[in-house]
Amino acid sequence: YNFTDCDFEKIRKKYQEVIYHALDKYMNGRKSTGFNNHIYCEDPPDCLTKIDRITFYPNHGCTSLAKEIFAVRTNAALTLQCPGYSGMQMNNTQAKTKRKKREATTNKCREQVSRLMELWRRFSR
Amino acid sequence: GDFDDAELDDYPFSCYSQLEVDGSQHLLTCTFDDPDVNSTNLEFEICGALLDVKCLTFNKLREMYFIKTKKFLLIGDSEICVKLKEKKITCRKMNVVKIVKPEAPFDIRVIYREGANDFLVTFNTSHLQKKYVKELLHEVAYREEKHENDWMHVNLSSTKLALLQRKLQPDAMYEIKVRSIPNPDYFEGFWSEWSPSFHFRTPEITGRMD
Repeated sequence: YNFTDCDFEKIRKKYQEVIYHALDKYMNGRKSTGFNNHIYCEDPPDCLTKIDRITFYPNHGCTSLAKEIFAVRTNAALTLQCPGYSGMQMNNTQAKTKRKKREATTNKCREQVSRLMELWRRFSR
Repeated sequence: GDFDDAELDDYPFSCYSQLEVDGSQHLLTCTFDDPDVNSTNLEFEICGALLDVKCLTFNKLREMYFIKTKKFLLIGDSEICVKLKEKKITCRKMNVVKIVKPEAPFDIRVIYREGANDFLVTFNTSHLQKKYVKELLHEVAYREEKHENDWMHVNLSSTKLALLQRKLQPDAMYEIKVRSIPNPDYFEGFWSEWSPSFHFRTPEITGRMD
């Protein structure tokens, strides 16, 4: 999906007012600088592309962040502000597994989320 | 069915939200606009823009319907419906972040500053400690007690205000109160209730305040 046509200002506002707090809560207030966040994004579309990939697709030993509150909010924001973005389709089977207790926050996932926070920070500059 | 189309519109209702009203729990309150509605078998339900669940049913307390939850997504619209025996009879699309009613400010005080020839008004708000609805606008209202309807109003975004002595009557009793509304950026909504009033007497011309 190409994020070029998104309403970046509205996404920025949703991030600053609502998504950020969920990311911070996930990290339990731990500083995300504890990880080496060598991650970079060039412009808003590039940042959203990387945010989408890290948030909704398993990678680097962190199977799923998609069920976390910040992910559900990210999905809602992108679905609302990016024309044609279908986003995380929560089908019934996923919905049932969602009721299963969220996975313990592994260090690998925290590392991923600290990268997300860096990407969001760059996006909202 | 139980209702003709015409009657379906006879149940207008209004709702407001209070975020983080109890720790991280939010509160959504709805009431019928007509207090005389017979609400015996009527229920409220909210669907959409919720975390982990599709819908939530309101609790009822006398004529007020409310939900206390952490499950508001805080992004996007929900649909709030009035239901009779599981049948939706009227619905409204609402966004929980656009119907915010702040908690009333409190602890309003006035200190006379003789050197500055003014009165320093200060007050407190629980919203300073919140994560979401942090940005508020406040309205301070004050009047000389013997002029019942002669309220003066000042709008401000901070919780401190200086009233110039020369703008007030000497040796007079004043009442002052304050209320808040979300500073409309992301969160929007309605005026809070007024704070409890504070009463103070201005000094006589010589300059000492009781």
